[in-house]
Amino acid sequence: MFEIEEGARPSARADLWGGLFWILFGGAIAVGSWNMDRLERLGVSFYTAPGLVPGILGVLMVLCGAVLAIRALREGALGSPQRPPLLLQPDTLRRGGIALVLALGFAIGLVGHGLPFPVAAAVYLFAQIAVVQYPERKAKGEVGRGLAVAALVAVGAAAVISTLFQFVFLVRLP
Amino acid sequence: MFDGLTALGKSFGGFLSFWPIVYTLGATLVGVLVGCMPGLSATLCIALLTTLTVKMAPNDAILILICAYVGTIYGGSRTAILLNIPGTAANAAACLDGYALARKGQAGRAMGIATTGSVVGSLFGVVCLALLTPTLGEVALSFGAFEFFWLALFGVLMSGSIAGSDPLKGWMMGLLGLFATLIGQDGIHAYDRFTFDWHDLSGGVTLIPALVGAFGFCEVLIVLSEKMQKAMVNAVDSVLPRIADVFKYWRTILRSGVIGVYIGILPGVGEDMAAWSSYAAARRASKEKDEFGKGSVEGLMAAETGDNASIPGGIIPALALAIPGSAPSAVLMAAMMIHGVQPGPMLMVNHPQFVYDVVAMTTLATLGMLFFGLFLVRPLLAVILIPRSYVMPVIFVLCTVGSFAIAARLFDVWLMCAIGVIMFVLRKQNYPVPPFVLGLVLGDILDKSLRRGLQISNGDLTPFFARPVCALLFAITLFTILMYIPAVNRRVRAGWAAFMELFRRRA
Repeated sequence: MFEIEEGARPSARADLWGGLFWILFGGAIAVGSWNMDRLERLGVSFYTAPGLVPGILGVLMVLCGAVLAIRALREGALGSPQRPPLLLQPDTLRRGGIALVLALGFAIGLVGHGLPFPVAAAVYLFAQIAVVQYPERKAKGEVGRGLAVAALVAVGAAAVISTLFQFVFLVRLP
Repeated sequence: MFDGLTALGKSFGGFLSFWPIVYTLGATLVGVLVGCMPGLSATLCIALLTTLTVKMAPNDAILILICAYVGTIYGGSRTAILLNIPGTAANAAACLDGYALARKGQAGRAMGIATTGSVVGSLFGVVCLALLTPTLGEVALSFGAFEFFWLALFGVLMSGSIAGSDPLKGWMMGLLGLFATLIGQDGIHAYDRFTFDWHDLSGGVTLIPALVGAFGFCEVLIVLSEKMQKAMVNAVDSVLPRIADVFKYWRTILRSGVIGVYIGILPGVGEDMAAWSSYAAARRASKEKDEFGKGSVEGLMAAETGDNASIPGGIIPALALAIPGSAPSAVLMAAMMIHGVQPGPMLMVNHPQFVYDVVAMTTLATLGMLFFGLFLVRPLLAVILIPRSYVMPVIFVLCTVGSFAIAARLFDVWLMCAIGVIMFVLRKQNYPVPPFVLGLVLGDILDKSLRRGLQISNGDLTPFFARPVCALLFAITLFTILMYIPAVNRRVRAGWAAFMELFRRRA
């Protein structure tokens, strides 16, 4: 069965879950493709049916997922103890979660909902920079200075990006 | 022959004016700066600049993208040498000897060697681009749906095999990319696939926002989820390249150039493999094997020549076959399509001048790279020291505007976010992103080629295996898959060793 080099790799249990996910995902694609309209009433050949290629891909995903799951089982996925998946390590989860919430809050919550883009960008940039730098600034006792620098960078970057896209490259802003 | 030279002269003449030179220098500088920042890839740089240049004239926009591409790969060597962190994946091999030289107080010399290798490698690649693209284009005119199916599959498979440490996960990412591109109206009957009656999805997964999400937003999340570290730069001595190094290692340079172009042409393989292969070949052939990894000038030269030679190498199949050689050239190809140039076998028929324009653009980019390599090394080092807590949020704002810019649809911003989050989760599970990109770019070709091929042969699979090019590509594809099964791998290696032993004895 397929083997990989040791290194920074997820645990066997994470791979087992991954394999099961691929089996379900690929299976869903295969079933969806099989049930897709084959356009026979329009005289379309079976060989050019829209679901043919997605169906094959779905089956291949199921096969690859099965290989991944079997490999994980052979590597002791059901044994214990297992280290937590890289994604679920507490620090990664906290930092990544905050970055994700702020980014999605900007791209989905602020952009395109009436707030001028430069303002939305400045708000996001300020929040993101301030949050990321907070632990280091707090340790040095420079929280106020950190916030001021974050505000300056946020306003400057938002203004430059907006001007560049809108007036130099004539691209519409969201 | 003379027609080609005349066309080339015309292309160079067209670019020797004020604005193209400004674009060359500006875009190469942007590329070098992006390359200097670890985590920001050539693919992201080209994708973002595609959105920025969407309203420009096609030749100006493509010139900017090619200059940024060349600049990014070159700029990545800076951090490899100074920080032991490759600016782009292509510069990982340069870390080994570049950083070792920097620790010996020869960072400037290492950067000079990187400049020399990059410029010579790139120029060698440009010559191959000019010579091979028209020839390959002519050969490809005889290709049918059967050959294009295998080329697309081969590209995705090779990318999956090489990117990352686990080929199985690479192939799965390739499959995911192929599937993603099938969402929306299909290219033959305009039937909506997997859109769930969501009209925005009928247009499909738009390539540029998807790439911006996969390489931009994903990287932003990766960097911001890790602990921030401050960069420490080693002292820099003279950065002027030594011509003596070029003469001393001309064999290494030539070999690395050939390897770089060859690997560049292989669909889906990319600059990083070109650098590693050139490095390994140089080490095997070197009289100073022990120096490799400890600050070998030859090793650094080989790696940098190889990765830069593979840039024009990767553009060759993108132009001639519409099958990109690497992830960045895939984005470049998509940008060409956005600007109304359709790469593929018909390119030499419909736009013969464009191929020579690309040769001229790549040459200008190389000269821009030489300019910044010689004169702007020390100011550029300041970029490395900018905290990533400032850079990454700004990159995300650029990703948002860039995704919107192509079609002025908020849906593309959401798509970018969705792809970015999915790639972030998958990357944390050791799934590589480049095969996904190759899948996205090649999915349409694979889908149409397979269905058209089956229609032509009325369901008979024989032409897919019996036509000469198909048979060759099928054999390589099958061999590649089988070699990842340890039992087969061991037997093949043992058989090869026995064969070589027999060969040696007879010799």
